[in-house]
Amino acid sequence: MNVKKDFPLLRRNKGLVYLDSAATSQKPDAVIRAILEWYTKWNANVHRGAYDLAERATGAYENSRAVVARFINAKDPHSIVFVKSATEAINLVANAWAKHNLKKGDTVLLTEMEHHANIVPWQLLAKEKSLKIKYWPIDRNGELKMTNLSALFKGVKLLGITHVSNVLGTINPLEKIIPFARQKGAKVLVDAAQSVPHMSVNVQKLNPDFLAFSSHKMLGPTGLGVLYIEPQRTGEMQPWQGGGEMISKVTFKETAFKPAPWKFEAGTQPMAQVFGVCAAIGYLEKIGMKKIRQHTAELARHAYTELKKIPEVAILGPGPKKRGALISFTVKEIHPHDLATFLNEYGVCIRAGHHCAQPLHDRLGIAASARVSFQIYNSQKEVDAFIGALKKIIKEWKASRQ
Amino acid sequence: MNKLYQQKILRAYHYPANKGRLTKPAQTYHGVNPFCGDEIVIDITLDADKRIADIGWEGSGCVISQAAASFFSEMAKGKTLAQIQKMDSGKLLGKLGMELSPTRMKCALLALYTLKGQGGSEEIR
Repeated sequence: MNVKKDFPLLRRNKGLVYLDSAATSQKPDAVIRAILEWYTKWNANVHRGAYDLAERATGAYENSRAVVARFINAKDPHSIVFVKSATEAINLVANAWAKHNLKKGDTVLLTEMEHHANIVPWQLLAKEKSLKIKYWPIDRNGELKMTNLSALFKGVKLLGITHVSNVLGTINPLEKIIPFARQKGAKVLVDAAQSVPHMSVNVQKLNPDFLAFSSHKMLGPTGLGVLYIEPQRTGEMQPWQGGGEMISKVTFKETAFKPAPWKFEAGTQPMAQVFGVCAAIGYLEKIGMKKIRQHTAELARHAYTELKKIPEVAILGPGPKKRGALISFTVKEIHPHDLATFLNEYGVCIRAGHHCAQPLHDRLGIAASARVSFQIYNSQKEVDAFIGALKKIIKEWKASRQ
Repeated sequence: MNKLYQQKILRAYHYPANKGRLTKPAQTYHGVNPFCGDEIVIDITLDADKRIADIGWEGSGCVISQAAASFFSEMAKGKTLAQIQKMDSGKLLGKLGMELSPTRMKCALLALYTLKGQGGSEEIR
């Protein structure tokens, strides 16, 4: 698959080996054109105007909602709420649903591998409402421990879980976990930020109560995220942000609200970005999520195999079959920060640090790690370039010690 | 590698000055760069004139943070805490002698800010 040519930033930077798509993905011409197109052809405020341009803008915006719904196989477009990021989606669940449905002493179960976006909102809420937070432990392979689950789920009213870990790469078996959690009386929030861009995610099959993902990680524009809400939950939710668009009637005394999803979309939404993510979905679907999964999984497998051959490298997380399109690792004696700096000299872009998962790094007993992540525009040649550079760096480092 | 990190920086990293905790520190300072996990703890003792008589530090982190901590520990000896407060980053960065991005700047200045009492969980500016 050679789609690198579709991505202007990669076209312009021929020597660049961009291995940080888990942080943000590059954008194809189609998405950039869509943003331009919105502002040159479609732009008017939605849901308000009575003139042709506004009606067409509204149609395009609501059509985008339907496109996003279809992308994750949600039955009803009204189960899709546009927010500014996956992080905001999770905060919305915390403030619009959990705040009004969890009571003092209830437990929120998260996992040890969660991103800060699926930890901090719960810590904030827990303080406010005297909730308990428990963390589902991981085993030595970086997978969730599947023992003592009944004890783990005692008192749990909400499970917050990542579909694919942005550090370990672990793909959590949600098809087993979600039915189990529901059986135990817990609602389920899925952080799908690292899964939706790389594989087919089917909310009718998975059946979560809430699912959050991010536009800029799936070749779409920044400033946009999506929250899927299982329709049964919307009746349990209160407005979160108040303002225009989410109301049906406002007096000086009080306000009546629109139903979901508009109830949770206060103010003018990022219309151009919503239009843009539609183009991203179109681009992804043209290639096919199955193909994308195959391609990126193969790159991860190849990188995993090559990294395993280097004695100074320690890989975090499970083997290639159980992981998504990323690999985090440490190198003996070389701080990830320095690794990233050295690799940068070779034009290889990797991420170094704690990847917004400090608790996980504490649990692993390391301060920081390096991470490579793959998307459709990466190739085996690029993985080989990364491995080659890494080997050279390790050699030079050892020599510099003399 | 030597293009990036001059010999003196790599040497300071591999053989850092004043590394190791003091047995009876007068004061201890903790610093962390949450961006990447660089951590440092600095012990000092003061002489009769309230100048830093001895300094010891432990830490983990990238080449820049550790090398800078090594250089800084040498610069700090003989200074009063008031002088440390007034110390601007220029001299230390000059000692490192390399171009630093804003991100790596935080690594280089971790030790300095820590001894200034600004190394806590607050963002290092």
